[in-house]
Amino acid sequence: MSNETYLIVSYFTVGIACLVLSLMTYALLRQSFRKVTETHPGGRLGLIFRRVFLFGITLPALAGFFSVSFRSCEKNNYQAIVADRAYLVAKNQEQLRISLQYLCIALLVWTVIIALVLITMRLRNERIVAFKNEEGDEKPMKENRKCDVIIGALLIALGLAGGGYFVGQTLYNSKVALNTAEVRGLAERRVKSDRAYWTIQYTVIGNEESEVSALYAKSKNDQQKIVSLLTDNGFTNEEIVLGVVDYDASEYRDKDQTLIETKYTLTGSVEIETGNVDLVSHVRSQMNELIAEGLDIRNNAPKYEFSELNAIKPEMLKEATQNARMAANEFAENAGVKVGGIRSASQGGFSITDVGETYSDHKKIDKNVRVVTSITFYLTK
Amino acid sequence: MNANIIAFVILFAIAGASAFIVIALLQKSLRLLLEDVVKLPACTTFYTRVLSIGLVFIALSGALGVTLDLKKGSACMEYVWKVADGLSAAFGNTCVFLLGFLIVVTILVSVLRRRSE
Repeated sequence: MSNETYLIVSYFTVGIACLVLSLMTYALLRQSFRKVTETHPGGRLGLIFRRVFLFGITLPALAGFFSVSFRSCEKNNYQAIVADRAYLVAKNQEQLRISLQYLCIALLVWTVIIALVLITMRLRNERIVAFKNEEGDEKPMKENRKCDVIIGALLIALGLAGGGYFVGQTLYNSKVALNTAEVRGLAERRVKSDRAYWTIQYTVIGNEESEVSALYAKSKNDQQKIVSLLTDNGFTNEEIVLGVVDYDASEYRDKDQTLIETKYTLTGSVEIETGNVDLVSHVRSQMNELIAEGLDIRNNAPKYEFSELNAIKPEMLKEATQNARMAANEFAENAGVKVGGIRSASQGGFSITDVGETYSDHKKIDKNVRVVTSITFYLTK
Repeated sequence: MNANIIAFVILFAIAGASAFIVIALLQKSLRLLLEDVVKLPACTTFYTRVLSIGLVFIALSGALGVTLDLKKGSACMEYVWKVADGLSAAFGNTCVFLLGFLIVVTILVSVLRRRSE
């Protein structure tokens, strides 16, 4: 039998069982209940009681059955519920258990009603006797009133004690007997960078001021060679940004402040911003060819970034929560209890680091993304 | 047969038997008391039957509170502890029901006896 078939069959079977049990209870008590209520002085009230009795027995049993929900914190969708046969059996047990408990509470309530019927019946009989004996003594009447006051006081005291017990128990359960487990859940992913930033600097140097224009022409030529190399290897013009050329004149003097040499330097840069991260590392090694041709190039290390964090966040948080629940389950298993719903949860920051590194986050293409969640679970019996 | 089912049957049997023992111990004296005080046979029948049905149902509901889902190969004592958990709930429920029932009967008897005197 598949789990889904079992769910359907067992649900209706248990429901019918609850109804049958309550009808059997009604059948066992019906005759005696009818006879007691027939003796009640208020005939109409007795009739109402008799008519309500059937519903007063069957409806609590059905209410108990219907009160059990198959959805819970762990099983919050139909597929998850149906997947676990042991869970379905436990829920059937719970339905029957709650139904029987409601039925027992209903029985207790009916015993109270019957007790009230008997007491009012006796009171009425006494009044009739007292009315007939008009010459009767006043003393027994006073004693009866005293007894009424004592019994009334006892009932009120009992009610207060019972109410106090339940209020106290509720407060105790909500404050003192609150069993929780605070655990941390870790989720880790290895991801590949999706953006790369790479800057190439090139420099031309001359010793004469008159050379500056020639130096600028050489600088432009070097820039063109670099751009050609980049575009030949697959970078697009949109990915390449040409920087401005910096001019610098440095004077070198001896200890007597006599000018020995003046150097005129032009430094330009080419920046690449691309999503093709693999191409960067490949083309970077090609730059050596330009160095061999005599270009003064500074081949800076590229920076790699991962920008799609929002896309993996929900999955990672789910995984971290699941891991936290697994940790809480370990606590609960050792303590002989079960893990309930979440009392509080907080998410730690997402950290992105280079694979194999502790601190750096932009040197390698592969990154480690990590998040830790702190969750407090309720522990239930 | 599955060990979980055997343990569950044992739990059910002990819970039911304990309820029947309590009924057997209480029923006769309760019947005599009510016949003496209430003097209404139907009422006596009603209260004794409520006690019987209530005790059986509440004991079984306590036994149903335990989920026997131990893995195959679990130690015998683990089944014993599970059955003990169920019996604890069954006996606890029985005590609560008895308490409620006895409070009602005590009030009823004390009121009616005073009136009779």
